[in-house]
Amino acid sequence: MLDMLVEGEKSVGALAKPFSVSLPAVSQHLRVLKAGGLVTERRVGRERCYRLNPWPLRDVVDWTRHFELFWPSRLERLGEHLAKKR
Amino acid sequence: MKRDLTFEAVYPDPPEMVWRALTDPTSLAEWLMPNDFQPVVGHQFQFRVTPARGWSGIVDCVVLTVEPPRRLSYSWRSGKLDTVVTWTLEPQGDGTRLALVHSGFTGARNVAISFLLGRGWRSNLLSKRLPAMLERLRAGGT
Repeated sequence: MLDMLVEGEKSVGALAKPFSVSLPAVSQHLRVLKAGGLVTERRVGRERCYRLNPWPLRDVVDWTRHFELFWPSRLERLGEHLAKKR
Repeated sequence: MKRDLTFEAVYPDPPEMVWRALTDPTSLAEWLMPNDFQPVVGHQFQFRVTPARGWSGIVDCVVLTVEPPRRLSYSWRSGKLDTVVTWTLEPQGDGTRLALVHSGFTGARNVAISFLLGRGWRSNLLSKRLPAMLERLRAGGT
């Protein structure tokens, strides 16, 4: 469901469509995500629309990205260090 | 959303040489970061570099495993980051296959988020789509 929300704001109906679960079940799931601060809710006419709030996830993403670059460069330096000692 | 990062490298040097580069503080400083490491379980040490972009430049560590010349691990904590770094050395021919696992990108808040996300969480989302979204938002887009 979060995958869909990455694309942009979606109504409850649109979010429920690909899943074989009831609308109330989807609403319940969205309420949990909302309580956790991961989505924000907006009323559009009779529908509720949800938007992903990615900021709580930022720290994890930034750190893993950081180390995905950091460690390979350090392993390369380790190789250079070992070569000097040979 | 617990996430481990795994890296691997093969060096033409025997495990004893690679082990030395991993555990001698002077060698370690040369290729990783300045430190006061000692290969003693329970030893508390720090890696220190120049602070940058809202980061203190300090990593607080405790040595967890010392099994020369095979396995070394220490905790790796900095700010909200609470992780573990594990090095495994395997002989490969005359050289060494070095594996690095940087594990436990979770923290209390991340565990809560992980619970909320449940099965909806996918690694593709974390590694590609979410970073792209954050960059768009930072750039002022919607």
